[in-house]
Amino acid sequence: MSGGLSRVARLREVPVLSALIVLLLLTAILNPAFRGGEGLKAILIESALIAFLAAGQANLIIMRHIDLSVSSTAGLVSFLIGNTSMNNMGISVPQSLMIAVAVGAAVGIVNGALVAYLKLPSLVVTIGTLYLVRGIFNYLAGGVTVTADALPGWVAAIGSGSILGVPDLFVIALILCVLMTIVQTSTRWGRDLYAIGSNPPAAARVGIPVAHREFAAFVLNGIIAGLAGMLLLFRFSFADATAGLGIELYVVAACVIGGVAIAGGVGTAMGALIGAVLLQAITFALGALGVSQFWQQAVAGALLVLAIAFDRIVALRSTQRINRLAEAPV
Amino acid sequence: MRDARKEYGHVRALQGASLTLHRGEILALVGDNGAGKSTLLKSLCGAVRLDSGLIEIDGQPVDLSSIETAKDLGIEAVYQDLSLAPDLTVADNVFLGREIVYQGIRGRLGMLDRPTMATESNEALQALGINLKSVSISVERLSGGQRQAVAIARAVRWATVAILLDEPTAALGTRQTRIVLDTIRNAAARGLGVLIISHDMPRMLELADRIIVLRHGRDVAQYRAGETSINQIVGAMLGETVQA
Repeated sequence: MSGGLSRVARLREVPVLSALIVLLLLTAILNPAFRGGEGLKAILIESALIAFLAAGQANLIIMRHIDLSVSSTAGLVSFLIGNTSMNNMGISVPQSLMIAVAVGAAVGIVNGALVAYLKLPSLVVTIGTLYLVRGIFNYLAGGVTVTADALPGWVAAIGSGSILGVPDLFVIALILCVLMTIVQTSTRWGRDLYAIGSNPPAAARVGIPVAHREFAAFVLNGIIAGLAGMLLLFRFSFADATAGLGIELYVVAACVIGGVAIAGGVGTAMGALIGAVLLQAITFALGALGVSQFWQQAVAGALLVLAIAFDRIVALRSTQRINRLAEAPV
Repeated sequence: MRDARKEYGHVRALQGASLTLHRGEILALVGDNGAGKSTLLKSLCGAVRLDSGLIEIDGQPVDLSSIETAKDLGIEAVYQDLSLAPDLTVADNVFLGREIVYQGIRGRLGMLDRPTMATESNEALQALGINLKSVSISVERLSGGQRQAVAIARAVRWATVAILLDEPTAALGTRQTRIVLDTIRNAAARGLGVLIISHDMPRMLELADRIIVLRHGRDVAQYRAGETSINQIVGAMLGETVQA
């Protein structure tokens, strides 16, 4: 029961990771072109941005919250950095980081204050800021398009670079997800998030500062969304008013598929990262099999519903088991 | 507690209730719905402030202005919903809100000292005769009686004066109730005062040392458990002639 192996087997991340490995093996068998490793590399590049954003989103979903505004924040940041570079013949890394953190924190503070202190539902608040920030973004961007030639060399270098064969973008996402998972599972702050999501009134009663934790997690997620704007720029070396459009739901899907239950209290950033890669791998596999792009989206949606349904079924089964146990010899 | 009074608008929940809880004693508080049991319990755990009245611990007047104050003074409550986080482990729940962090730099970063918490949780449970296979399984996987026992063990772990229990055996089967009753007896044996609200009269007669009947916000009768009957208690609850 307390053996290390059985504990690993019970981790919520294990089924997702197994599914991912099976899928990659199947794709490799069915599509010889995939075996060179370039396919895997493409999957990692495509999933990096979603995984990076999922690290912050996971904290919120663990607490039964959600932040849909991240795509607008990331898009705005990528445009602002690009546009600044275009107007000033270049931009430095610290300047870019400052823009990313400032814009991200501002959106996070608004979301966090409204949700944590005014007790407004996060779904509604962040749909609001999703459109609000996108609106500001549209106003600022107008018809402006930032292209690769207006961007400094380091943007393209990071975007196309790799470390030991692993794309830089994915390495960045991986580092964030590993750090976040350590925070989630090994620190008091992380523990508080799970306690809040697991039983909110109990968390308050044992003295956990629920509102402060919620606020901090929203601000952190805002900053991560801002930094994700840099990843967007690295990835595409291009920015206009549509940057980042629609990715928020992929971020939520990656979390849920990776074991961060929408009901709160469970899951980790590493799980969400695996979820992001799995989501991308499925899209890629379907593409390799010649399935149209429209169907790929439908499959991503179906997978999300499946993941939620699976979670629900497991929860129901364990409730039944406990009820049976309740009258069994102890 | 002496002459406790509390009104909610026109509702007089407590109209001069008094009781004394000794260390090592199990005291059952019974009464019909609306007799003021919950309000009394809440005022003792700091969740509700009395309009007037005096609460003393070891002869010293205390002001239980918040749940935190009551906890600091050594009073822990086990609410009916248990206040456990089902997704977290038993050890994490015992230390919920009071986590132990490592010494030094790791502690500065807020890193949890899981081994120490596991050891201490185990000791807390063993001391009350609760046997779980492991303290690192999630509370979700425990039976109802085990969950209640964990909630009580957590209260005992942190209480120095008294623990207050709200309907600890409600919705439990016979065997599960047995676990909980044993846990409560062990808690009292460790020198804590135990105050229980319950509708389960036969169990309270079996478990408690004394029984206090509350009616219309007042304590109307008091019995030694061995010297009374269910009929007598129910009579007092309903306001029939009291022969205490």
